Amino acid sequence: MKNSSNGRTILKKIILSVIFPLLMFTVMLIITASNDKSYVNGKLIFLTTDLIKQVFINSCMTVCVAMAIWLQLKNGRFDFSGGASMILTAIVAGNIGIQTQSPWVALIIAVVLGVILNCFTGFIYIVGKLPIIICTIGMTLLYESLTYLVFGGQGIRIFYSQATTSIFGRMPGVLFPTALAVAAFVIYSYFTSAGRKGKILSNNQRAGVNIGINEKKNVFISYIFTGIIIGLAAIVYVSQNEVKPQSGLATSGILFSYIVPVFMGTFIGLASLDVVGIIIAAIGMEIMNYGLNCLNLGAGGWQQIIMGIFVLAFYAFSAQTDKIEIFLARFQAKR
Amino acid sequence: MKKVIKKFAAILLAGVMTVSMAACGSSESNKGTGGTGTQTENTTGTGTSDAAENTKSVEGKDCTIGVAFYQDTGLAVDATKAYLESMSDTLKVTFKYTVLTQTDEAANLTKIQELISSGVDGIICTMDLGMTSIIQECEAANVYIGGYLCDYNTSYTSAFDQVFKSKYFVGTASDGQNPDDVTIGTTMFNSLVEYNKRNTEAPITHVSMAVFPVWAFPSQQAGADQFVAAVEEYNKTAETPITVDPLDEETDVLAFSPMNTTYFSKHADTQAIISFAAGSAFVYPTMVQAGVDKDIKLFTTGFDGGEEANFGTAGTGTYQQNMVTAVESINYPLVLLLNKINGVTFSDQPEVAERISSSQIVINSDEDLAKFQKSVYYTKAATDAIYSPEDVLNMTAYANPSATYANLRDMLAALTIDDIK
Repeated sequence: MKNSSNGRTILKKIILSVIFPLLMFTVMLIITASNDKSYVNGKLIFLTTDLIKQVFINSCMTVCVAMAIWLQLKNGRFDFSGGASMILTAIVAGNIGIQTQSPWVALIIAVVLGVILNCFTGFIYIVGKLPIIICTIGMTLLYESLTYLVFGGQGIRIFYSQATTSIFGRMPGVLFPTALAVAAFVIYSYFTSAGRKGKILSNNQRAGVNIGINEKKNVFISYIFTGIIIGLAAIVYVSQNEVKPQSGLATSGILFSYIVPVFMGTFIGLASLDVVGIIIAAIGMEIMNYGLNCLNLGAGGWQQIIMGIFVLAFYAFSAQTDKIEIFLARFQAKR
Repeated sequence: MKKVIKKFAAILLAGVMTVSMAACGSSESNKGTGGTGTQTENTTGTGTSDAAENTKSVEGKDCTIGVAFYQDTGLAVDATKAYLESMSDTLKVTFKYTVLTQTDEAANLTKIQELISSGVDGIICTMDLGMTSIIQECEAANVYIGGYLCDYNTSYTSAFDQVFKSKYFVGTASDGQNPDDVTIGTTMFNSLVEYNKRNTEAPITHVSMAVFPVWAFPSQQAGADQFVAAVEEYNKTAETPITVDPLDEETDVLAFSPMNTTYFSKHADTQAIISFAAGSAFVYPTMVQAGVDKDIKLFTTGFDGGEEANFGTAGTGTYQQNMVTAVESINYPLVLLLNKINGVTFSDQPEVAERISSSQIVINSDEDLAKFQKSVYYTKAATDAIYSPEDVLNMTAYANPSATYANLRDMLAALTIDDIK
């Protein structure tokens, strides 16, 4: 009897988790199928193998950055410097990768540098006793300025264009750093005491400190794991894009372009785990993007409008979760 | 005590005011007379009377020229800076640099104001955004301005009188051809035919195109039309005709964002992309991401560095043509500015400022690439430039009274792959 109940619960969780990308796929399929723009020589371009390839490649990048954002956010800190440390890491790792012609060396450098930069951010936060926004904006400006100093301020552009170096930006290589990033997130969140303590601290910092949690140590450990994930995100980013030096908090824009799946993922993750929610949300959003691309709405104003309305509607819906649950409970009680 | 402090402060302020006013006056008088004292300020804009006075060469005066680029780094920008710096001593010019935005007129005006307030005598500007206000600012400050890598088409078509007829605007060297003087379509077609001649076993028979929006780059649309017309003419007699996918307004026009990955599904049979838009930045990344860079060739404008790894027979062989405007084309506005600053002008100087098409360096083969890699554009070494600092000095009307505007225009036509040393 208990096994059957467990099985039903797991099945329910799986269905609730995958319902978002499935719904998104169905909706985009209907929209593209009813639009002439999506047909080439009578063939619906939405239903090609390119869909799977693009959705996975783009989702991997999104998942890596979203994990880094969410790891700090769930600890009660909104870290603006993630984008800057990712770009700086990408430039350094990419250039060293080109010099050595080895993506593996670039991967290792990226992870090491990601950890160093994030630990430094954490160190300044702890020692400076600054509000997190002030601290991370300051660090963003510092890291951005460094992008103009390292490697002659040229950034890195040829890393992604060489088949030998860009394996972590293409299928199936891109799955490796993504899997590592997910593993780092899962290990920190569910298999370390620091992850659990972090949850207590974000809920009630004073209570957490009073029961003996070393807050500073906890912050530092969280930044080590964030650094690993940022490093992995950097290697995927530099394997897919030209990376130019940045200034004026432009890196925050890069960071925030991946934030939507974080908020959507936390809602979808209610059915299972936040990490699953983020992955599912990223896949769902990439299916939507691909569908918009098929409709020639993949860039520009209309894409922004459609995306904005969708995200707003999703947040509005998710904000009513409690009311929906009460309504469903009443409905079931009446039955 | 308070009174003493007040008096002291008042004396100090009065002193500062007096000194600053005196300094302003000195600066104005300097500008009015010119450095050498042998020439007169050209106020008519025609300069014929001044030209008549220029019978022997004179030394140019020390001056400062601001260069407003479209981006702060990159191969072209770095090479241009290196080239300019190499000429600094010979031309007696100090160069200052700034970066304009592609979207914000007010920001561009502020950048120009900053250059003016820093004391520049002339400005070379690479963007046609907010030019009417910028020209007004230059007129008020008695600072001359010229263009580089920009056809100033918006100003040319909608504010000609305010910009091109202003005596403070010296003219511009376009990035390639002007919209009314397009040859890029023919050049692209010739490159394609040349490729097919080299690869008779696997010629390219199906191509698609990519352009930037017509409101920003009208010459690209005209180039695409020219390319299609050239292919149609070729197909009349060709044994292996070439198919060109018609330019799709929604798919093939890149709104200054990377090409959409579905482009390759929409042009399923394409073997090459003829990108009039900057393909290295906007097309190639998507090709790599979609994994088609081994199968589809790219003929495009621009060279940002790194293309050589996959050019011609190297690497994936994606790039089969790149086209750039030589950095030496900056000599056109530079020489005209120097003439203005030194109060001289060419005897054949037109009354109204012009926009002049620049010849382009077309890289079609491994041999061309090897030659291009010896140019200042690639090496950033001024010694590799087509025109040395002495050559440029010799182009000016004050250093060489027999120099002509026609010669300066000819210089822009002699910046091809064959002209590289």
